[in-house]
Amino acid sequence: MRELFDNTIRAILADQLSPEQVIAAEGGEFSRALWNSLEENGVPLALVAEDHGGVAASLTDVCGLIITCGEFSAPLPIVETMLANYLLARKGLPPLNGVVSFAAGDELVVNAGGVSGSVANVPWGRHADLILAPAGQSLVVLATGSASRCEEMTNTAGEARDTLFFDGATPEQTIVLDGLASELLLLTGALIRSAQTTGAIMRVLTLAKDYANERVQFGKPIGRFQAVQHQMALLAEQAAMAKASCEVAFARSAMEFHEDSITAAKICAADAAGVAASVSHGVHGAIGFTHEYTLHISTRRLWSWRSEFGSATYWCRRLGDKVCKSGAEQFWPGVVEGGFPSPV
Amino acid sequence: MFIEQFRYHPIPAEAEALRAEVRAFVAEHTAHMSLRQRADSWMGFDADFSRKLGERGWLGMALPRRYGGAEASAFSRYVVIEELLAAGAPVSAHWFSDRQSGLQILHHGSEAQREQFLPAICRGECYFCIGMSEPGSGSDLASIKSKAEKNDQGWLLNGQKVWTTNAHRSHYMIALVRSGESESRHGDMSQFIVDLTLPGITVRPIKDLTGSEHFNEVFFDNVQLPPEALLGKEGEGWSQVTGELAMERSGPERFLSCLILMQAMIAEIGANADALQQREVGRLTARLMTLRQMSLAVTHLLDQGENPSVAASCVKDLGAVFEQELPEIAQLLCDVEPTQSGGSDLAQVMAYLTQQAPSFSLRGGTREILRGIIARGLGLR
Ligand SMILES: Cc1cc2nc3c(=O)[nH]c(=O)nc-3n(C[C@H](O)[C@H](O)[C@H](O)COP(=O)(O)OP(=O)(O)OC[C@H]3O[C@@H](n4cnc5c(N)ncnc54)[C@H](O)[C@@H]3O)c2cc1C
Repeated sequence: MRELFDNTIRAILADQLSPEQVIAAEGGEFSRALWNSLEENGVPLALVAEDHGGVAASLTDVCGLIITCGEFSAPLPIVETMLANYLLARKGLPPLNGVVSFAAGDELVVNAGGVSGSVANVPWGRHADLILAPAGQSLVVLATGSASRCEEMTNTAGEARDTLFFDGATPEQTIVLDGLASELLLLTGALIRSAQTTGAIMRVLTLAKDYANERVQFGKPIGRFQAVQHQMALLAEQAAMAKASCEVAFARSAMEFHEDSITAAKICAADAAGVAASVSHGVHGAIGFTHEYTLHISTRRLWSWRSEFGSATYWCRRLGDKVCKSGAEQFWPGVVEGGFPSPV
Repeated sequence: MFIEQFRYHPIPAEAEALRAEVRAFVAEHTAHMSLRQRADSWMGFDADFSRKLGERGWLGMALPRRYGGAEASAFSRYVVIEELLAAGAPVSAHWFSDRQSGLQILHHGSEAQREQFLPAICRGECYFCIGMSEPGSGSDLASIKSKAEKNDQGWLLNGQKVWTTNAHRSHYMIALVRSGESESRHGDMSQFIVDLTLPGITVRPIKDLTGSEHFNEVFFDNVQLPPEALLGKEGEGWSQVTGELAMERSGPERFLSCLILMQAMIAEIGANADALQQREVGRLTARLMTLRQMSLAVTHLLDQGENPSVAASCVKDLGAVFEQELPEIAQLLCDVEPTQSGGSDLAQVMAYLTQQAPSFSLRGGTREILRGIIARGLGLR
């Protein structure tokens, strides 16, 4: 199934998403035609059970698909929608219709008067029909139309990251969880951003490699200079590390989100992002610093995505605290098992 | 591209099933060792311990049963060696035999050579060292000058090897030497199994910067080798050695050398880590978990008979960076003065590994050589 997904998404994005469209999206446009095409191909329902109209794929099956969305800088919340539907499916609930997004920060308050409070950093919030947001142990589904206000903001790449305000809104659904909803949404967001980051790293690696083979200085392609080769090797190593950590996180989260594997993926991808952006710009010289050349489309997303749903520092501290609390004797067993007990 | 090769390959259940027994065995046999001794990682030499591993069937595990092996998958050996390395067990005596010499003999050796060496390797009684580097040939291995000339009794060997780890306590060396005249730079080399007790061989230990003796210079002065010393085909030495290097570069020893320090550091920090300690310990843990999975992906490829030399170079180079960073980070996080003797366990381990660290990006191929391999793998021309 995985290869089919990879090929389908790559074909759609290569065919229907131009760099101009990505830039236009930064100006606030929503790529409706692309969205419709993704919808027709069942992408929002990939992880949903067959009796709800999906194909019941596993997270491992969609790892490559999400990486590819990152590679193409897909300027819409297709991955967010797919995962939101997955979270509902895990509760046996049917998928949502339309464009869905979610955010992990802030806390909404639910009482007799409805849902109140704000949700910040909602990816593509202004374009979404529905969002998932945390309210303590409850995951609430809200129509964006029920928001009292939308404060528009953008990340470093100009992607919409809006704050939605609710003032006694009536939720479409309220789903009670075993744990904190913010935690579930944070892990979900960290998982997908790691994969998208990996995709963007793969793109800048390819751009830099091709450029290094083409650009001639001192009578030969710059890719023949050892200094350039070694920089590219460092970039490739980081790409490999990001990719490997993502594969593990998706595979191990098949049954339940695997916290420490997702943490490792977010850290490795975020660290790799900085190296990838720096090396790919270095190799490209001045041309890569222009708006016309497409390198910045990916590097500015690297600079954004690495810090969304928890920066490397956030996840490092969280993991480091657990490791220190579980103690030296537990360290190696924890590495082998891929997880450390949460502090009580 | 080779980056696609890094998929998730968990250890199969039958290999994982070995872990508890290995871990208990290792714990029992390392209980008497100090933390500083265990920081020696794969440099600790203990023939008794090697024999005990042989008795358990944990050496030469991938070799066929008829030669004393277990015909186990590469993952079974992986479980055994990672548990040994993580605990800092003394594995040096049999290390090269188990990692590469046995497989090299299985793949390229004659039936007589397999019968002579493989059962002894599996018993943990036959130690090999690796004779590649020479005074004039380090990274540029193809420029070696040691030479074996055919004569009526076999081959007459002259020349010198250097940096040969364990030559002073090994039974045999697999040596790469020139064996004829050839136009091509790579065409006239062969591998030989050299019995280190033969007349004309002098082994001189070289003290490393800490004063310990691990590596050696080895002189060959008209050493008469029998015809059956030739390993594999005459003139095929270069391609044989290339395969051998892939075995050298992919294993968990490339990122577990400093694990004892990681544990000592966590013990020192205790349960209430400050922000900096949390961040650095978390980052190291995430990298280590990922490096291990990358190395398992390479193990899977080797098990499938593929040649993952570029992916293996990635793991080794990232592993060396990780291992070299560890003593630096320990110094950053723990306000401890490292000590060569006396002082706490942590202070001694720090002093020892800080001094060992430079070698991590030299042995098994320098970082520049590995990065060159990766660049070629990327298609940079
Ligand atoms: C602890 C230890 C154990 C060892 N054990 C063994 C053993 O058992 N058997 C064995 O055969 N060898 C062994 N070696 C030797 C090891 O393989 C060599 O040290 C290594 O191959 C490098 O060779 P060199 O030391 O001659 O350095 P050189 O090749 O002289 O390199 C010196 C520096 O120049 C750089 N350099 C060289 N060529 C290039 C190039 N083309 N481009 C860019 N930079 C370059 C290198 O990267 C390095 O930074 C051991 C080494 C150590 C440190």
